[in-house]
Amino acid sequence: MAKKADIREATLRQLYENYGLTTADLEWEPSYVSKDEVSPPERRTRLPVKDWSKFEDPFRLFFEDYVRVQAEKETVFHDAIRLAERFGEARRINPRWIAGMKLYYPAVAQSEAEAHRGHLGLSRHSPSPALAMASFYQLLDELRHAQNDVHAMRYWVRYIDELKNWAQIYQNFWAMQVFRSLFEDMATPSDPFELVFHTNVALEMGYTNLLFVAAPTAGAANGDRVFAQLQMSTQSDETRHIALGQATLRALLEQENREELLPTLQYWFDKWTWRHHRVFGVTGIFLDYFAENKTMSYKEAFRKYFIEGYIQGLLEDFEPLGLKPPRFLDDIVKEAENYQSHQVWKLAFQYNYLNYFETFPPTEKDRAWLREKYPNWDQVVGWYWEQVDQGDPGIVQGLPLICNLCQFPIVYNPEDPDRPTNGSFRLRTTRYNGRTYYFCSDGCQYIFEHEPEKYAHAKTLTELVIEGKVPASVEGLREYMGLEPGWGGNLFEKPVWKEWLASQREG
Amino acid sequence: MAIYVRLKGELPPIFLPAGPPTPVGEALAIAAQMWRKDPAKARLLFQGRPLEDPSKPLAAYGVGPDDLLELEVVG
Repeated sequence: MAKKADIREATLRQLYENYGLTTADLEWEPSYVSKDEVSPPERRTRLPVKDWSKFEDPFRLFFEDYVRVQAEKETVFHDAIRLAERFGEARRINPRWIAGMKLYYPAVAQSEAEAHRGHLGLSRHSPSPALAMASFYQLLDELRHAQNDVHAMRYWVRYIDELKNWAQIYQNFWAMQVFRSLFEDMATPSDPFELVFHTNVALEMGYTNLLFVAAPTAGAANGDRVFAQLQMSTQSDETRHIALGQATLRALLEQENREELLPTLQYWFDKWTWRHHRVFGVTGIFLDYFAENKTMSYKEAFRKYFIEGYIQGLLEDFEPLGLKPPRFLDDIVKEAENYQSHQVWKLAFQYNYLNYFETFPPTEKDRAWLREKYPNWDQVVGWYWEQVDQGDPGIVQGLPLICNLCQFPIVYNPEDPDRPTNGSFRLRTTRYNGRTYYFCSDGCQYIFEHEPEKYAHAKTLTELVIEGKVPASVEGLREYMGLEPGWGGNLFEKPVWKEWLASQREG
Repeated sequence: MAIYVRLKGELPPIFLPAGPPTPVGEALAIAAQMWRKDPAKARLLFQGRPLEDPSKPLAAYGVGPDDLLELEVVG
């Protein structure tokens, strides 16, 4: 009679064999088409990796188990939407938070779709079958996330008219260009392994806790349980993606020819950490401004998730293998902890006539909280809101100078963290092929100068208007961006806010 | 190729629909309107130097087609 231990060992061996056959070692030579047609040489990695066997799928997941687990998550999320529909939860959500969701959903839905496209490339062109399989699971995850974001918008559009134009808004709305630039970059990496640095390392280790934990917590505090449920469901996959990023990074840095690989890997680490900081700093306005019931400042979330979780965690593991702190870390910290969310919010208010979501001046209660969290808040932007209090509409009539790399208006001044708009401002420019390119920061300029052929062709919205390719009038621009009359503006001047205040007094 | 102008102490810079041949006074009027300032109580600066003569073209002060000006409120 077989011993229990022998049976267990045999069962495990069988499991590993099955896993190898169906996932980690699932590789074949194509017979109907050539290998170059399946994976053209220009789409494959140019990294001189010596040992592809070091790469693995860190989760060792069978497809049937993957489907079962994901189906359970779907059930929970769809139940949350059905309950919200049945009990009319949307009417109990703070309109300030709803204004933020108008910005959030179009950006995030499309970002997930681009991550799906990016992983289609990695999964197809990876020389390691285990990595291809892990990436295959991830591309399914990203598609699920994108579909759920669209599904959530389908629910929301009954209450939020603006979301009916989400696709056009994503394509043409001024602030959305910063997301488009980043995520179209994600889907078209220079190398399949660059995608891992973009997605699994910088985005998922660096920022998804901010996006899918800190923001949903604030959402729940402002009555939005659907958002909280959706993002928690998304984040449950991110842990797997983060593990894939770590495993891939380790496999690359443990190659015997590590020194040969390091300059490229370090550049990708520097580049994508900066690119994500520039874009996801925008999410600071959800915590610092949209949320009336505040749970955590962007600065606190940044320290907890970005500095401690991402930078310190990653360097602890990989600095001994040669990885250095990201090149622009000092600028990132200076911006995120001093003025990033405040500058973004101020800019959004200054252009509220070109928005589809509402903005508003911070209330006295907001300002007290902001001063407590950011001791230099008055120097940074408090003076501006005082001007608005005194009757200055605070808006700007004109086309802003937009960074030719990140596509966001130039509102940061690394020279002066206490008053980012002070006289010490220095405009960064680069001449390339007879044209002047403008940058918001050393980080954006550095990336452009490394890869000008990739970024030089992208025109900013302001440049398109100057060239006559986009209408120059406010009405024409709003139509181009998909904005209908009545959308945008100052929330506190709208009936919906007054009705909300009345309902709060009654309730 | 475009000239941009920022309100002193403010960002972002804004596109100024003007070129090096544009007279300083005309450029000042356009820039002041963007921030709803009175052009009579404002002046343009280039690299920290005021552009004093409203009848002279921007080019006379060395302003090229890609440069950044500042609008300063005075008085």
